[in-house]
Amino acid sequence: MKSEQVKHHEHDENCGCGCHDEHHHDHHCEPEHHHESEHHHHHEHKPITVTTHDMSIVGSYTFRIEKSYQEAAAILDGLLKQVAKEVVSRGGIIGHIKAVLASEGESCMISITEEESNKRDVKASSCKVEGVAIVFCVEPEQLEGILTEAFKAYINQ
Amino acid sequence: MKIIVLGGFLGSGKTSVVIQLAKYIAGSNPENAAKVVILENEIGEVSVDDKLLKNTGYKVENLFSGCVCCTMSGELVFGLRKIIAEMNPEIIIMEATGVAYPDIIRKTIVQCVPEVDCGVVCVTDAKRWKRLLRPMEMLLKDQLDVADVILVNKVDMVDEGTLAEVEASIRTFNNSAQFFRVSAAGMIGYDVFDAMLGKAKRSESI
Repeated sequence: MKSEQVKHHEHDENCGCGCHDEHHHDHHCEPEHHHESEHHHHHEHKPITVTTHDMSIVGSYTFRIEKSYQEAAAILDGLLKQVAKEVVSRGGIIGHIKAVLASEGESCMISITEEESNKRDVKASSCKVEGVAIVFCVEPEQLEGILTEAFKAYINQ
Repeated sequence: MKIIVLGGFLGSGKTSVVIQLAKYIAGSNPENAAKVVILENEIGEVSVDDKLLKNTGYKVENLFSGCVCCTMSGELVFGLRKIIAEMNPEIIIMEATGVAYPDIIRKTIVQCVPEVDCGVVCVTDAKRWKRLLRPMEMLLKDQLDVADVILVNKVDMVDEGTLAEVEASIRTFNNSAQFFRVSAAGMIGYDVFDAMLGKAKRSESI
């Protein structure tokens, strides 16, 4: 699997990619060395975007889980483990896969038309997920596919 | 004024260290929170650590969507100048991205903001060190070799034999730094923070 990745991976003479056992260049990152983020699939408001940053592949994702906070936390935990497993199964290396889950929380509406107020509670049943998956030794398209597959049930909610 | 550049590979525990260090600097008095500003740098289209840090009550500035060690070095200098002018903290903790090269960040700071004292701390992950060493060797080496202080983190997740091997391996990249074994998931000892703040303590008597 590893050698397959080598074929797909672009290098130049300054490549510091450590994915290749046979391919260790000195990587002295000087100020003129640019870690430019090359945007492959970036569009505003897209739920999943994948960019490259030096030798890392960075997937960013935002979606909603229409469940309570406790349920959503358990679901998200499973989804991220699935992403991690898929990255490793393709010969990739996990840098960091992380996400913030924010519940809208309970809210209420208070209205007054005379002297007494009327309060109505609104139970939250929706959570927002924002996260990144920073990995190595997989192609950007592969990471995008992994994230899309893992989150497909929630992306269009 | 002191800037601590906190580097180290992705997932090594930098953010956990930042939170405890900020708390140590500020102490229990909420008014002292102004002593420290956290400068956060993340890659990706969304921020994660930033949201976590902002909940701690400390001032957090974000350099977002790019790594300051290269393409965003101008933003780093601008951000530091802004913090110094508007907040004038005693300590700035700069959490680098997990793929940043702290030596470049230090060079930028020394060249462009020479009035501040810059120290580099590198956080390493004892649990993943052996697994990451071969594929990520050059990045790990470059992150370690300029560190003044090296924290070997997650020591609670490996046995003593593995830990000794990991530390010996890390020392092949930098044997001159001060070494500390820590578990940032728990409490980090004050001696570790004193070492991280060492130069500032000597010169400014915080």
